[in-house]
Amino acid sequence: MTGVTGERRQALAPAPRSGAAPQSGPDVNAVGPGLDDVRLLAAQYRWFGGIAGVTIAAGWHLAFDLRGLISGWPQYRWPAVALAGWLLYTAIGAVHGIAVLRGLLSRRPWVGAAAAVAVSAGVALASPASALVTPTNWAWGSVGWLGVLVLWDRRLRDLAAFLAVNAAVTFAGMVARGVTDRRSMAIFLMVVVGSVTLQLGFGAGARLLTATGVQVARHADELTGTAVERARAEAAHDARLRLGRAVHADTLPLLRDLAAGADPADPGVRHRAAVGAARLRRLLLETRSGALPLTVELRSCADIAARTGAVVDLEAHGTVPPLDESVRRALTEPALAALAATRRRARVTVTAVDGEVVVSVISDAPDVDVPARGGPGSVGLPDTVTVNRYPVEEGTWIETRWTRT
Amino acid sequence: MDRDPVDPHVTVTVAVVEDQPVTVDGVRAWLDRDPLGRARVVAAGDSIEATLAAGGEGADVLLLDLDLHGRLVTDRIAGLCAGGHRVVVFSALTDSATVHAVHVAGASGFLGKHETPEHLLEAIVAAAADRPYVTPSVAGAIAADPQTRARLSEQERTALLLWFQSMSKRSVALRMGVQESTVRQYIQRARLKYAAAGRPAPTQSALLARAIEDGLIRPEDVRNYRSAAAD
Repeated sequence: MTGVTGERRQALAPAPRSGAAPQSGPDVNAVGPGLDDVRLLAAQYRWFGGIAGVTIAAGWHLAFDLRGLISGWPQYRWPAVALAGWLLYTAIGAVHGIAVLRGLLSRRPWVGAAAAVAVSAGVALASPASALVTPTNWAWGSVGWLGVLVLWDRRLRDLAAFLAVNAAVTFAGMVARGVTDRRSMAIFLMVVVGSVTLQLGFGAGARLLTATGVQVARHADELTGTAVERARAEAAHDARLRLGRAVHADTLPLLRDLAAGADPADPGVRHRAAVGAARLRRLLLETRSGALPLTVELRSCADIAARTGAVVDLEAHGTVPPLDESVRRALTEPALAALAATRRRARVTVTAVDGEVVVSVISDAPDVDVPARGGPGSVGLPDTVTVNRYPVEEGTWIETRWTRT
Repeated sequence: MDRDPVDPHVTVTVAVVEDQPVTVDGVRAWLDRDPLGRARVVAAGDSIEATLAAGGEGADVLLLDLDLHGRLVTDRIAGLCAGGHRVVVFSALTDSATVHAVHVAGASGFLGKHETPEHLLEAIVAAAADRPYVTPSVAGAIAADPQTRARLSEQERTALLLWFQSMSKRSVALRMGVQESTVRQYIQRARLKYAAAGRPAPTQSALLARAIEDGLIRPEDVRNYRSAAAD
C-alpha cells in the first residue's frame, strides 16, 4: 500500500574502509574506543525521535479522532466512509510508524501522503456541512501527524507542502459546501495554525535530533579513521625499519667485501648476492602488501632462481591457515636459501593438511645452510617450526614444518 | 565397449585432444623419444569429436587437454569413460578439486602440464595396461583430499606426501627407509582407494580388477572401499 522497503539506512553505518589491516603491529581495532557506542547513541537519538512521533500520532488518533468518530457517528452522512477513514489512518500510521522505528526507508512516501490527504477529504465529505469545523470532522487536523511519520526521511519542506495541501483541500471543501462564515473561518485558521505549528515544529525537532546523531557518529568515525591510518602508518614504518636493518645485515658486508676486492664470479659471492636479493624482494613484498599468501612469497623466491636459468616447480595443496609473520618467515627462509643455491632444477611444494604446513624444497644445490634454532642465520625460529635437511640423489631435500600447537 | 589391457610388448596408440598444435607436436616428440617405442600418437584434433573422427576412436588411450578453446571439458570425461575410452587428462590446473572431478568422472590418469615427459609416457603406458600411475601433482591432490586421506594407512599417506614433494621415488624410498618397489606399492594402493571412492566406470573397474590380478589389493578391500564410499 505505501511501499516501505527492507533497505537499511546507511547514514549511521558507514561502509568499512577498504584495505585489510596488517596482521602484525599495533592492533588497529583497539584504537577507536567507543566508536560503536557513539553509533549506538546516534541510532538511539533517532529511535527516541521516532518513538515520540509514533506515540503522538497514535495517542492523538486513539483519543481525539476516535472520540470525534464516536460522538459524530449519528451525524455522518456516510458513517461507513468515516469509519473507513479512521481504519485507513490506523493502517498508514502502523506501516510507517513501524518503518520509522525499524529504521527502514520508505521508497514511495507520496503514496502514503496521498492516502492521508484522501482520509482527510473522505471524512470531511462524510461529515455534514454544519460539522466541518467540529471534532466530528476529526481527520483534517490530525492527518498532519501521519505526514510526520510518512515523510520522516524527507526534507522539512516536503512536510510543509503536505500540510499546505491538506489545509488547501480542507479549505476548498468548506468553500464548495458554503461554510464560509466568519466563525468557521476563525476556527479553521486556529486549527491550521495550531496543528501545523505542532506538527512542523515536531518534524523540525526530530530532523535536528537525527542530524546531530549522524554528525556525531561521522565525526567519531573520522577520528577513528585517523587513528587507524596512524596505526597503519606506524606498522608500515616498523616494517620499513626491519627492511632497512635486514638490508644492512645482508648487503653491507657483501658490498664491503666487493669493494675490498671479492670476485663477483666467485660462487660464494654470487650465492650471497642471490640470497640477499631474494630476501630483499620478500621483505619488499611484505612491506608493500602486509600478509601475503605463503605461495606468493615462495613464488617470488622461485623467480630469483628462475632468473639464473634454473627450472623451478612450485605446487601447493590444501588450505594454508593464517600464520604469524615470524612463522611465515621461518617457513620461507630455508626455501629461500635452497633456491638461491639452485643451479638447474628445484621443486618447491606447500602441503597444508591435518594442522600442519610443510614447505619442501628439493634442489640440486649440493650444500645449503639451513637456519638452526639459535644458530647463525636463524631468524628467531618459532617453537612450532622445525627444519630438516636430507641428502638425496637430486641434491638436498629441505623440509620446513609448522605444526599447530 | 570394454577394451582388454594392452599387451606390454605392443606399442600403445594415443589420440591427442588438444587445441594447441605446438603441444600436440611436443607430445608426439616426447613419445617418439622413448627408446623402447612404447607409445605413439595416431590421431589428433582440437575437439573430442574431431579427434575421434580422425582415427582416435580405436586408440588405446585418449590424451585429453582439459581446457579446449577456453572451455573446460570435465563434463565430457564420464561419457568418454562410459564409452570404454581410457582417458588420461593433462591440464594446467592441478588443484585438488580439478583432480578430484577428473578422477570421479572415471579418468585413468591425470598429469599437470608442467610435469616431465617421463610422467606423460608412464601415465599413458599405465593407463593402457589398466594400472594406476600417480604423478606428483595427483599425489598432492589425493593427500589433500579429506575423504580419501581418512582411508589411507599412515605409510600410504607418508608415501603420497613425499612423492608429491619429491622428484624421484628413490628419494622417497630413502627417506622412508624402504625399497622403491614398496613406495610404488603404497602410492598405487592410495590411488586405488581414490578410484574406489569415485563413480563406477568401466575404466575404474578395470583398474581395480587389474590390481586384484596383480595382487596389489584383495577383492574384499575393494568391497570395503566401495561400502565406505557409499556412506
